[in-house]
Amino acid sequence: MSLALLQADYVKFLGEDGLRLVMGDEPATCVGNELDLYARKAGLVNACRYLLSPSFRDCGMLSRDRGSFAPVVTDVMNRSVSAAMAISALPSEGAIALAISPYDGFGAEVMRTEHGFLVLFSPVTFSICFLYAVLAVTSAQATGLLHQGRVPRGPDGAPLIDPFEWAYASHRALRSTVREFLESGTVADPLGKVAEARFDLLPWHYVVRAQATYEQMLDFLALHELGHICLGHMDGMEQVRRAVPSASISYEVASPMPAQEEAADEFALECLVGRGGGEELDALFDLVEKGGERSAEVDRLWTGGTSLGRYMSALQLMKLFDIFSSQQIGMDVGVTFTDACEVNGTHPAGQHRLIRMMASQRVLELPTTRRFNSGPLIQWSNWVNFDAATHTRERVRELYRMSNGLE
Amino acid sequence: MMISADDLEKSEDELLLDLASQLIASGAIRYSGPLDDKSRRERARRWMAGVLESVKRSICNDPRVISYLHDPSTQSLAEIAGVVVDILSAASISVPVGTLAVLIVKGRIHSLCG
Repeated sequence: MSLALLQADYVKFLGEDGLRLVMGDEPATCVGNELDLYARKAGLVNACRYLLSPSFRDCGMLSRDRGSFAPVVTDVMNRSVSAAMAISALPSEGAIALAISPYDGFGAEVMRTEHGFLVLFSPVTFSICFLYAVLAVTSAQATGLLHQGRVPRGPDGAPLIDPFEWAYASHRALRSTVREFLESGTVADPLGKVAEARFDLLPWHYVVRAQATYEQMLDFLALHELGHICLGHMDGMEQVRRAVPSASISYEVASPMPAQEEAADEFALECLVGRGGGEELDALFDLVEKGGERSAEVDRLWTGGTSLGRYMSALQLMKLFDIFSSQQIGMDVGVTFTDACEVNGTHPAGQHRLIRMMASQRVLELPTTRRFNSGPLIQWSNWVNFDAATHTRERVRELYRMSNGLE
Repeated sequence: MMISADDLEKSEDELLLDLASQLIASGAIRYSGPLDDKSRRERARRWMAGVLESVKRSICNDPRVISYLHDPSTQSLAEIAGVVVDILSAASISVPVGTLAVLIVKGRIHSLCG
């Protein structure tokens, strides 16, 4: 099938108002890229591929090519289709393309058209994923150092911040960012959130890591939708192809929707992490154990360029879904809904998806004698749940001391 | 082909939500996460707009539709909805067409063929 025909389907789907929404009103107006400031301070030059801007709607655009997310979409499509084809054959019938949706909420979706499948991302999905990636990487690192009893230090060896204060501030910034996004559909001061989280305290690796995390989150979203296509979830018409009144329709789907979502998550994780990365990880872990944390080889671990980095990005994306679930429903959806595995009849709760993914370490293909320690990630996830809107600094400190047996 | 009275009595919003559910169940659309009703209706509305573009000529050139538009008293709403179901069934539309037909005849057929 021709991509040109699928493109025509896309234009028809958008209509005039959709085209206007997708193309945007005006190009980004900011002159510089604020991420460059952090990179230069950390000793990096020309390292910032993506735009950190005072305007939320511009965050996540390519730094050199501002005005829309189309170039980002092209990159995601190339990476995700290649990753999917390495694991599974794509369906022979119908073309597949990634594109921008005209919707204003968060999310990706896949739509069958006359000539193939469109995988669609809404514009704010890019912006919130980018901002969240920066904040998640910052807060995860702050939490990890706190639990290791380590302190970020300046060149003269002096402590730069109280580790507890850093963990608290970074989590507050992350949580309040997501809350503001859910309530208003935007974030008024992205730069303020990044500054509040103290992204500036991280070494250069994490400027690279945050951008890799952003790309990997987008790739996961695309691969999840490609999973629905590859796993036959878009072929349900055979079961319902009856021209009957809606009141008479009985949908006997072959597989419950939440189970299909779990299958699409598994497909996406396997494709994103890729195959054959176990030996490299094993060797890198050996180096770390021998004290080689600062070597150029081991830098690959910290910058997110390994299968472990991709796995961590997927887990952090699931945590975003968990926060979405809990803030949208106003309760601990993990406890309330995990048994039923559903929030609304179609999707498992975010916490359920996170836990399933944490239990999928097999995708890392580590030797049986080696296990990846997911403890720091669990600690980070637990910290994020201390919502600063309901927990004061003193209360969080108290909870932290209790949970770590420090009383 | 009969359209039930229940379908015809539903509001536009209810019909759009029905259509959104049918789009998911038939594999026409899958979302990455749960959507609220407003978002589901928005997707159904946009999907329907694309379909109407494709089937407009078939519907508006049908003699039974022309007759109905000229004098709505010649057929009941249920009868003309049945006509639209027949037309949609002949088109390559990938969801059950009952709800779609009701959405067309209840609020759109005059503007579509005007």
